[in-house]
Amino acid sequence: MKLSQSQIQDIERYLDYHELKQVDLRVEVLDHMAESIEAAMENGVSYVDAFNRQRERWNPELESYSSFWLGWALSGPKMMIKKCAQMMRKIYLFALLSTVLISGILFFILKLLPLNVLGNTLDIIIKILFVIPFLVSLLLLYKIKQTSLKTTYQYFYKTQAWGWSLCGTLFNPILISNKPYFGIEIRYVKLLWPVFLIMVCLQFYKIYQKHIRVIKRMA
Amino acid sequence: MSNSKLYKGSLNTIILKLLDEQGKMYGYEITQKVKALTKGELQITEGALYPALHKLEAEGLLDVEVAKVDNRLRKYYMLTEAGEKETVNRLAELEEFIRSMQNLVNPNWSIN
Repeated sequence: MKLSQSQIQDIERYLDYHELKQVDLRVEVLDHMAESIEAAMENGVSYVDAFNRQRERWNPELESYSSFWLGWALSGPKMMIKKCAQMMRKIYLFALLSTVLISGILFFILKLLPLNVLGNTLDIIIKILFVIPFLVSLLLLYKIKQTSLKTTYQYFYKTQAWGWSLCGTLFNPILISNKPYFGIEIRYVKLLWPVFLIMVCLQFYKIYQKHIRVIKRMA
Repeated sequence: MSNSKLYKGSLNTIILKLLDEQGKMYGYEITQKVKALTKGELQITEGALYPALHKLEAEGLLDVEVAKVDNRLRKYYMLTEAGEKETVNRLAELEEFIRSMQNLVNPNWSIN
């Protein structure tokens, strides 16, 4: 027994109530609920009872939820926030490990160079390293806002990437100090922040790509 | 269900195995297939199934296809090439685990 268009709209309204707007999850939940209701109706359960039973099953997954990984101020359907939190943890882990490794390699390469000659050049490179992620994330934020469909990746990008690029700019040592960043001696610690920022932004770029992939799939 | 904790650690392997056999499946279909195969012993909840599917997708083991069915969209999951290889590895691990448990619990009993 197939659900009518108005019965599907009942489910849509239920999902709207829980603010599950992200199409990648919404499509899945709607189909699951509809299939379950149809199966129950085939076993003689009324539409209203079957729908209520489904609402009871899905309420815990769709209730308002916050995560430390995204910031307590943000809340949304539990299944969406949990998916975002998982992405965030993965990004931090990847960024931390790659930062330690890449900064180490850079440090040993830079140690071999005559810093008294290259100090200014390095400062320019560091300036670019700070500016690029900010500009790229700004551009992607604009592009992601232009897309018509909402996805989990879009929510994640809009709430997390923007903050990160802003953070990278506000804590930019070139902006807050007039002194040369490297001076006459290269220090490993000074490489960590710009490299970490780049690594995080690279991961956010992947998130943007995933958003575009979902949009294409749904088209 | 009393023994759901015993199945929990194997959920990803169960999903991979089903997709390996069936080609492509959607969420509800997976829950019903598992319920039927285990004669109702294992009922996968929505709260466990979808995070597992999304995790496997993020790991590159599953691919997704969206199709219009009746009056709604449906998301089908299928194994990627990496997913097929991983299924073989995880099934081997699971079989090894079952054998070890069998040796611990009841050495005289055999699954074959």
